[in-house]
Amino acid sequence: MTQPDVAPDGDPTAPGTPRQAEPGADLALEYWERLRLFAARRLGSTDGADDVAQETLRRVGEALAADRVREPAALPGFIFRTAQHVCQQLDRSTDREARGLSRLAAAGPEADPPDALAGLIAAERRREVRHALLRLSGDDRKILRQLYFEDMEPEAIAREWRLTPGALRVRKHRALKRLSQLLDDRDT
Amino acid sequence: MPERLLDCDEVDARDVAAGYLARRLTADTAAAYEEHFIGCGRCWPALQRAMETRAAFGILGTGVNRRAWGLAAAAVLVVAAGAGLWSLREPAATIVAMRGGTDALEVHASAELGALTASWSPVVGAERYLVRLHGAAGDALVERETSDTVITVAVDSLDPALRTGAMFWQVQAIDRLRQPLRRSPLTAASPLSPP
Ligand SMILES: [Zn+2]
Repeated sequence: MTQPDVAPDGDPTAPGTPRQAEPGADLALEYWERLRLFAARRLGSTDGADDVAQETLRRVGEALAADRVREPAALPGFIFRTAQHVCQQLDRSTDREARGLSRLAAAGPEADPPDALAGLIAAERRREVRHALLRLSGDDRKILRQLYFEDMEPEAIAREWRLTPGALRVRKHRALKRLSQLLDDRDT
Repeated sequence: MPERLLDCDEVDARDVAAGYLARRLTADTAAAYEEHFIGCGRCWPALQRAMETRAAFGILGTGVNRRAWGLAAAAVLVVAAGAGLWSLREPAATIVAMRGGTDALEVHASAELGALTASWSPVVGAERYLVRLHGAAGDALVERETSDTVITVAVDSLDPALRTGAMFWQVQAIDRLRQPLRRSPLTAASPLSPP
């Protein structure tokens, strides 16, 4: 892939070839959730994820308006680098506070850290998916649990099920397809 | 900058989504995957489904320490209530300065006939409103977007385990680029849940 013809976080007044740029709401619709996940995982919590997504979209919108992203194919890469930059800025400025909170948390009982990414899924959606998971076959549910919740390596799961890695992938796809069908039935 | 980019087949063959959520990937691979899924119409839905599945197993009671999460979330919720912020942690000063007005949006909450209702006055320039109903432990019980200035949630649609304590509304007005215009402080969702 070629390097994108962009200048992340550069001077918005930098000259560029004029072009019909329409940084509309589509940009936000398309990238909002992706940026929230990106930020939540990088920051280690959902706190600040909205801020990172909003600030990234603002900067990207400005760059599009100033014609600093000339190739449509370069846009995702530009968004990625802008988000990276915004995250680093936010992370640096909250380091001190985070260290304080960590000390507070360390004073409590030993426990697994909360899963920050689960906080991105609203409770009502979690309930819908839980309901669908409970309607899967036990085997399908177990494979998805091992893969996505117990964080087992795919190779270890394949060994346990006496499957080749390829066959495990087929089982996984089948389980995910059934889960999607159950969720679609529920949505309609 | 990631060292190299991934393609969809490699993402699937290596179960990169699962590795990403489990934080098993090297920093370079995670960055390569981030750059890929941000622009990929096939891998992003797959990652979303993986996230939802992970989150749903979290409430099937298999492994996650809910008590620790409750304590941690309650602690930051107190911070947020005092500061009246949308996010639960103080954002960078540079970002606050750049994101425009943060005058408080006043939410009126009521509870009757088994439903919780929040309403607010229209904000000039707002395209939509992001509305969240938080539980006492900081969980987002409901997350909606609306162009209306009122929202109602049936109490019996909430998870019985999560709806017993205090609940709080938070509303943020956003423009068409999703930039924040105004946001509300955390507002008790019913007269029975003190702020
Ligand atoms: Zn892909």
